[in-house]
Amino acid sequence: MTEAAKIESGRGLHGTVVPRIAIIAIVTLLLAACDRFPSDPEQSLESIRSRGTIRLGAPENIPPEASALLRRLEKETGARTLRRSGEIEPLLQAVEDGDIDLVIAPFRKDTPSATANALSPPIRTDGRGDKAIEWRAAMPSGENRWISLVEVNARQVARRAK
Amino acid sequence: MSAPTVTTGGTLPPPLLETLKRAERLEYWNIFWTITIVIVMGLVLGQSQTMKTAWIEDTLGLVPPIAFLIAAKMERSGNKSHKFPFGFERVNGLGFFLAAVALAATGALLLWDSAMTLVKAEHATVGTVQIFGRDIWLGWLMIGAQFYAMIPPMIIGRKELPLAEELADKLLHTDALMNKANWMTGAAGIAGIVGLGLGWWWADSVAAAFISFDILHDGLKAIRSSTAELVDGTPRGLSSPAISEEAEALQAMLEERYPGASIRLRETGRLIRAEVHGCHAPEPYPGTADHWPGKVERSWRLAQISFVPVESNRSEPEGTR
Repeated sequence: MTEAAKIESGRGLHGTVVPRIAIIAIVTLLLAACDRFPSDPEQSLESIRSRGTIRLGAPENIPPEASALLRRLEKETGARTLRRSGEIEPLLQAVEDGDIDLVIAPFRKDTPSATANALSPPIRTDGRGDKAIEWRAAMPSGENRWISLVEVNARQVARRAK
Repeated sequence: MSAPTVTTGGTLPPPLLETLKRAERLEYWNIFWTITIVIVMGLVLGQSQTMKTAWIEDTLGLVPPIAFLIAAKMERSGNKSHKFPFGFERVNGLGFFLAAVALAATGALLLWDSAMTLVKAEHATVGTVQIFGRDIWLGWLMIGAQFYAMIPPMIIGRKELPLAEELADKLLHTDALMNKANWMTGAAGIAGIVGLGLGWWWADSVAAAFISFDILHDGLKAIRSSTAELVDGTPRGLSSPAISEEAEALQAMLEERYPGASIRLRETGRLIRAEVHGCHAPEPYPGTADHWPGKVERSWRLAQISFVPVESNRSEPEGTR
């Protein structure tokens, strides 16, 4: 039997039976898991809801867009904001370490990747060009349900501010 | 005394040239569809290690068809010259080797990258995007892109296999198997994104490692086979580094016809060349095709038989039989 014939008959390594089973398994898994997508590996959103607090890190003065975002997040999660003020760098490190849930801070437009955390779309932009300052929310990397919730609300805040 | 050579000239018979043209047309389609996949996957890459690895594998999928097209063009239209008296029939083998090295190197790099991501326990962020005013989790688009990336290679790979067999073309055959195996990459990629969606941060890197291992495995297998051809090894099978069934049968046939002679077979591209050491060509010579043990329509593969009689004042080197 030739190589092609072996493969066509489904007995080869990449035959037709195995892919079908794989596709059926994946589709079943997708349908079963639909409403859980995406989940947080460290259960950030679940913890915020059960704890009843959003642990926020932010500079002393924040723009009205940041306050609007916090109000929205409080409404979505049923939790109240517990704010910690200070320098941005230690606050970002605290998000990375999982000590706080969110930092709202100004970032230079040309250095958004200066943090290992996930960044939301900008909620406010001051200035123009590469030197523009963007206010964004930073969340723990990989906490995709929490990140998605903040991102969606950040977009809505930014849209309303325009 | 010079070695008398009997040859068919090494050119492909007209029906096979038509098959070669069909394979070339298919490879143009292959390139077109692969480019669409690379674009679609590139648009939804995000930070996912799985997506990055699958995207690189898809991009690498362009190497074999491009190498095949260049080799086929040179083989068909490259004229024999003073500088290249044997023409360009071995360009295919060179292309096969280059494609194999590229595959293996990239597979190894990606495997290392995935392993490091896993060791550092990096959590991939897959957030949302806005499309037509709606916020959608990027993972859904990644899954859709992976599904799309599975379809064209499956169809093309299936069409390439019989052409590769007919042409005895290892480069085309490797491409066909890679394409057919792409469902595995797609399935692993989808599993990785689904795992990520379920909150299993490691699923992304594990899926990427699985895909990288597959690339590395393909590359190493192809390197073994292509190297055998470049160092004048006995012709290998289309999909394995083992000696091909046709070569085994030809060896047996020549040993039976020329008892006591040393038979050496090698492959130049899709053609087989035989050397019969220790005897003269029979008189009258029955023709090269007459030595082919298989079906007549495959006899084009045996391009040349050279007879090398023993010189009385020169002993045969050791290990030649």
